[in-house]
Amino acid sequence: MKGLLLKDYYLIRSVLYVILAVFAVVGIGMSFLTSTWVLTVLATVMLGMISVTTINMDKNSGWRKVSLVLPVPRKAILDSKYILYASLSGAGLLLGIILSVVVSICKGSLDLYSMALFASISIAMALLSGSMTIPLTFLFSEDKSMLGLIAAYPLSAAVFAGAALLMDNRIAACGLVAAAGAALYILSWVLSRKHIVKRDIR
Amino acid sequence: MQSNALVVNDLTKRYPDFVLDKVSFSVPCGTIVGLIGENGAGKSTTINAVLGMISRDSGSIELFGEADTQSNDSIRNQIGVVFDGNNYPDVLSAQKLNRVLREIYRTWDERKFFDLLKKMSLPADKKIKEFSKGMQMKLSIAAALSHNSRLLILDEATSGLDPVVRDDILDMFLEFVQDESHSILVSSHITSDLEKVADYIVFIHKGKVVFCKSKDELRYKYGIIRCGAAQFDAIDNEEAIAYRKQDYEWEVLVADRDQARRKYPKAVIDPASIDEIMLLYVKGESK
Repeated sequence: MKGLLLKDYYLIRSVLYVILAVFAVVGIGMSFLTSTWVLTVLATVMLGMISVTTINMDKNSGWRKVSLVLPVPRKAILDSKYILYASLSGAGLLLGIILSVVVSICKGSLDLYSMALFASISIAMALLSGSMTIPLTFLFSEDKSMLGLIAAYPLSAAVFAGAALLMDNRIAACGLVAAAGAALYILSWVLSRKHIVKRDIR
Repeated sequence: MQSNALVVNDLTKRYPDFVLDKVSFSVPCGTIVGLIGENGAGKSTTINAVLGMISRDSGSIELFGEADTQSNDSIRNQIGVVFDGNNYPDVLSAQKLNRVLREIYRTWDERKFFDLLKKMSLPADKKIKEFSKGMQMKLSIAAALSHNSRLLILDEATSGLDPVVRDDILDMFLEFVQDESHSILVSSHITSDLEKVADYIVFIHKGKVVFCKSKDELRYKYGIIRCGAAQFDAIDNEEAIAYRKQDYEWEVLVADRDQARRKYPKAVIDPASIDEIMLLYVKGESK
């Protein structure tokens, strides 16, 4: 497992500069246009997304085939991706919160309600989309899994918007969706361990 | 000591458009076994099944005498695998690959890996994407040899490489099997490479094993009778394994060219290369 995560770390490091540049440009723009706290969502989603792209990088580089003949259980290969996704999303959440707090303090508008709201939106978005994109990327070709990746975020946003409309308390709605996201993420992990690892690789 | 590194028995895998049909062969310890056949014959499917990358419908596979090897890490530590094309993420350097693989293989030998890199003139700090195809293949072989593997499995590892690099790689194979506990299973459609190094040839055609013979038997016993129509008619049906008509002559594959020479003294009988044997089996007809 350590070797698999180390390999992913090298892969992520090779694209990190591009991701950080995109994050800086989009994040600064969006935080001025909307709320500063949108940085939290952006950082969580973007960092989580990188771990999904490592699955496609593995396929394209031939590593996916090689990894299946290593003295590592197939389940560990899958586990490493779920762990990586959760860790990177967590790191993104932390980074987003720190940046948002700093920017809010500079603007003199630190607001804990918004912080809690956007943190739960970030967790919900990351976990809901992760529970869909990780298995889809394992199962399908790069093109098809990219469609899944594109669809997963609006779908997650729709779930969140639906919950917000149904419940008056927005924080409670976000918390509920975040909890549902966590449950779905665990379910996706368990089902993938059961079904994806048994599939033939040609 | 184990006599066979790998035993494949009646291996069957069914796809909607292809069937790997009761494939059986073995890889004795200390030998190189070449798996030949045209594209789509079933070489890669066989290797994928041996490596547990695809499930099998029936049949058995034994690696170092053990049947259930998919979850056996100790067996997996002893198998070095090289696939066609790049095997590792190209953003890594050999140095980083070493760090990754030493965390994965319990038997990883760092010193051996760097010695092999030096021997193959591969830079340790350069990214794999800057390597030529030949260098990438050499790196994959270096990695496969650096965890004290006893069995190397290579799927079309020499295809697309120039003759010089291929020759270097074949020398590495020969050096590897100097140790009699080491063995190699190599699939290739470049039969001339296998003619140089293989001890046994397994020929797969349309998902079935056509023959599994020692290379020496093929080289020293098989022959091709080149003759006209009258001579062709005189050849016994039992003797002709396969034949085909060329522009001005008939080519007939026989399993014992010395016997054929005695029987048909006027006929021209040449030794058959593995390429020619394969072509006659694939494109020829039976009498």
